[in-house]
This record gives sequence, structure tokens and C-alpha cells, in this order.
Amino acid sequence: MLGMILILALAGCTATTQTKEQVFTQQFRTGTEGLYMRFAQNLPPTRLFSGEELAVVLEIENRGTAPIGGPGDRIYLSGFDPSIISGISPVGEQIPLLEGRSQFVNQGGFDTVSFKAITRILTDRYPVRILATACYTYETVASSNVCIDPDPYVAAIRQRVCVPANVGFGGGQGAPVSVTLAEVDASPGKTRFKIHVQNVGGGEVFRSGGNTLNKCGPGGELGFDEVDYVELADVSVSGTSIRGSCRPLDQGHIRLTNGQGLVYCEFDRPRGEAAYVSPLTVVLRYGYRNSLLRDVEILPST
Amino acid sequence: MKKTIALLVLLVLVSGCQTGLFQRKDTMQLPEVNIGTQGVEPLFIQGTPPREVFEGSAFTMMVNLANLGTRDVDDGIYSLSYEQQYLYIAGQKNQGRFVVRGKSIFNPQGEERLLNFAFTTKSLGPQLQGYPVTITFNACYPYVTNAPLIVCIDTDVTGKKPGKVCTPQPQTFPRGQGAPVAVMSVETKILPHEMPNRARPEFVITIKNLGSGQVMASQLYREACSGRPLGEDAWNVVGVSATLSDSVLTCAPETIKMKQQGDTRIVCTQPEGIETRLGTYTAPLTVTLDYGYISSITTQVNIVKQ
Repeated sequence: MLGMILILALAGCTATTQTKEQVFTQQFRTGTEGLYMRFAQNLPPTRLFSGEELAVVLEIENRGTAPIGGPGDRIYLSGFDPSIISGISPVGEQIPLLEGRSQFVNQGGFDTVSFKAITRILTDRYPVRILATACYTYETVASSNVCIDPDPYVAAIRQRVCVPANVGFGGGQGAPVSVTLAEVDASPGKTRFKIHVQNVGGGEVFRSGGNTLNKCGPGGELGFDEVDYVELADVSVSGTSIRGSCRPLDQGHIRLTNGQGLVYCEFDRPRGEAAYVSPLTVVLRYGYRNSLLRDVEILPST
Repeated sequence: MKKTIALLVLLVLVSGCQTGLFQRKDTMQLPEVNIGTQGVEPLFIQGTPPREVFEGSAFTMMVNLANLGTRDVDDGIYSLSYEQQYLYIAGQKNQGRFVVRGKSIFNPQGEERLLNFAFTTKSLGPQLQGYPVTITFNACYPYVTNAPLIVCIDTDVTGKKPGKVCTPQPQTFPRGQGAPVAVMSVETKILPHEMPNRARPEFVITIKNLGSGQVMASQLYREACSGRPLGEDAWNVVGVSATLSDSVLTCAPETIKMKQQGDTRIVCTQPEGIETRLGTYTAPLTVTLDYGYISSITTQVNIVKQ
């Protein structure tokens, strides 16, 4: 009996002393979310009496890998009659700086954004659906190794380290817009890439830039030529940019149709004549909009 | 016995520890008073007047006036009509005033008033063995339908923006708004405005008399109970006004003659429009219908010879 107790005690001691944390160095560019937001519990409440203060608190978290909180990144509240619910700025609230996940930090930044409003005295109930809209600039960095074969159709039999093949980018890159596939087409002296891009975050994507970001809120109006565009910031092979070869681009942007887009790029400066593996890196930049709803009922206080 | 007491004590302690174990979780619901299609409804109290009375005798007729709508009636008029050759009311007039408060969240049933009439039958004369007399009770009163509705204002006329809180669509209100004349439906249209960055809301409002009485111009309700003919133009006339949020809408026509059959439509607009920067939101539209109303009930008393 004493022996058993001793074994258990020792096992307990060992367990506590063995909790060595491993350094987070695994692949961090995964996931399909950018900014995640939710209403704090009971803020806003589902029911309140007219004349009372309406407090709305949004808990926000950067679940992607790019930082959020730059100039123009804002959260707006809308959906209510401003003559009944007043005191909420139509220009929204600045999103505080939220760092993204990185190789060494496995959780993105977390913060809250608060709104306070006054409700007018009512004689009838006013059911309202409050819409929180977050507008922010985001970036996707997708990188994967591709096979570059400068002479794929050579007649001579020789040993190759790789054969050019399509590269899938499953699971996202820690951003709401993903590079889903790079089709590789090797020809003598030139490798063509057909890069597939998709909006996987459940929100709306629009052209990057302060001008469009300002129009993203409920008071603004993004034009048809501004929504569903993603800026192709860079495409590089072995660190050499091939962005200049990419087609078709509309002022440097890829057009998405039904949330999906395509761009064709060429790499025509292979090293030597033997096939080799090299990283293909795609950088996308865009504005993104997420929204969230909460039903609130304002009851008459008279 | 000791065991039972101990168990009871334990139960009380446990229920005290666990919050909400015996608590009601549902929140109190306020009574829905803004529904219904009735106003002031007169009703003969059962057994009054009696079916048969002897000539030269007295009988009592009691009428209950219940305000089943949401509007207070502060200056209602009632009148009795009957063949004065066979009946008379001793010490009372055929007309009078009444006050009955409407339904509210504090009095969801509405107020009732009991009116008592003491009739005396006259002699039938030698020719008649019996005679059926018809007594009609009329309640005439001004009434207002106040329809607080929630409509969707979508200033994005071209439909460019996704993720809206609501979409303007026709709404129907078959249960009424606690008044005999009801707003049956509202169709919201958001039209382009002549000014940039503005949109013009337009509401097509359908109204109908769902009560059992008759509608008249609000200023003529007293005359309706006087027995004087009002003329065709006085009947079925309703004054219409509406507000959207804080803004008074322009309704055309402001006074409408309701159709005898079917629905009557009114169009209310906000000529100055709404700024498009306000986006899409829900707003209170309050439609107010102003009219006079007459509710009548009839009964028969058989006067027989002694």
C-alpha cells in the first residue's frame, strides 16, 4: 500500500516537472480568417427600455497573419434609425492595432471596440437589427516550392530532381483571401504559372487603398469596379519578382468572379539547364469587410 | 419524522445554492394591446330588456359599453331609437354622453361602462293584442387608429451593397391595430431623389374598415347619433397622416373616402428624401387614421296585453 502511494506521488512530481513548452515554430500561415469579431455578452442587451443608454462592445481578434489597425481600418455600427438611437459616430471607430500570428506567436492580437448610444423615449416598441461592419486592409502571403525545369522536353535521358507539377495551397494562408492553386506549365526557357485566388473568408473583398477603405462603411458606396478586386502586390520565384509578366490585371488588381480569380505569370530566367525546386511566393493586398448582426428590442418606457 | 425534516432542510439548502434551480427563466411579456379590430362595442346585458313585457309596465334595459380598442373616448355620444308611440323613458333622455378608456398595457382589457335605461310601455289600445317594438342603441364616437409599424429604409437604391439588415418588402397586418379601421398592408418603395446622395421613401398604405360599424368624418360623429341624415359625402371619410421617424410625411389624399368594398390605398412620401449615407436601417412608420364611428345594436321587446 505504501509502495503504491509512493509511486503515485512520484508520478505526480514527474508530471509537473516535465511541462516544458515547445517553441512554436510550425507552419503558421494557415486558416481562412482575418479579423474575427463578436458582440460581448449582453452588450448590446437583447432588450432595453427606451431612454436608457445602449452600450455595444465588440470583441475583436486578429486570426490571420497580417497586422490590422492601420489608418482607415474601422468598425461601424448601423441598421438603426439615428433619430431613435443617437450618439454613434457615422464614421465608426478606429480598430486598435492587432498583430497577426507569426512564426513565434501562435495567437493574433485581441482587443475590444466600444460604442455608447442614447435611446430616445418611445411610446411603441422598436425592434432593431444592429449591424457591425469592420473594414480593414489585409495581406495574403502564399509560398510553396515549385519545380522549375528550364528544358522539360530534352531528348537526352538525364536524372532530374523534380518534375514540374501543379501546386495546391490547401487550408488557406492565414488570411480571408487565399491562393488555392498554382498550375505549372514548363516549356523550354520559360515556366508559366496559372495562379488561382479565392475569397474564402465569408466577407467582401475590395480594392486596396485608403480611398476605397473610406467608402467601405455603411455610409459609403463601393462601386462595381471596386468590389471583388485583389491587388497582386508581388509574385516571385527564387526571390526574383515576375509580377511584371502577370496578366490580366486591372490597375494591378485581379478581378474575382463569384469569389474566384485567376492570373497568369511567366518566369523566363531559369538558372542553368537542370530542373530545380524553388519557392513561388504570391503576395496579395486588399480591403476586406466583415459584418455581424445582433437583434435588439427597445421597449417603450411609458 | 427527523429524517423528513433533515431532507427538507437539505432540499432548501441545495435550492439556495444552485441559482436558478427553481427560478423562472422566461422574461415577462408585455400584453399586446395594439391588435384587434374593434372600437367601442355596445352589448345588451343578458336578460335585459326582457323579451315580453305587459302594456303599462316598466322594464329595465342595460347596455355595456366596452372600449376594446386602444383609443380613449372622452366625448362619446349614445342614442336610443324606438317607437315612442309604445315606449318612453321616464326621467331620462334618449341621448347621452359617455367616456370609456381604451386598452393599454396597464389595462389590457379596456374600460367598460354600464348604462341603465328604465322604460315604461304605453297602452297598446283596443286593436292590438301584442306588439313587437324594436330598440336600437347607437354609440357614436371619434376614434383614431394609430398604427406603429417598422419599415425597412434602404437608401442603396441600386442595390450595390451586400449584407443589409433588412430589405424593403410589402408587409401585411391582418390582425388590426386595436381600432375598427385598420392598416391592412404597407408597401415600401425607395425611389431615386432628384438631389444626389438622397433617396425618396414612398409608402403605399392600404386601409379597411374591419369593425362591425360604420365610418364617418370625425367632426360629424355627434350628428350621426342625432338621427339627422348626414348625406352620402359624410360616410366612410377618414383623415390620414403619417410620420417616418421624426419626419411628417406627405400623404395624398389627406382625407380619403373609403371604398365600400375592398381596400383603399393612400400614398405617403417624404419629399425631402433621406441621406444615402444613412445606409440601410429599420425605422418606425406611424400611420394615423382619424374618423368618427358608429356602432349599433338592436333588440326587440314584445309588448303584450295584460
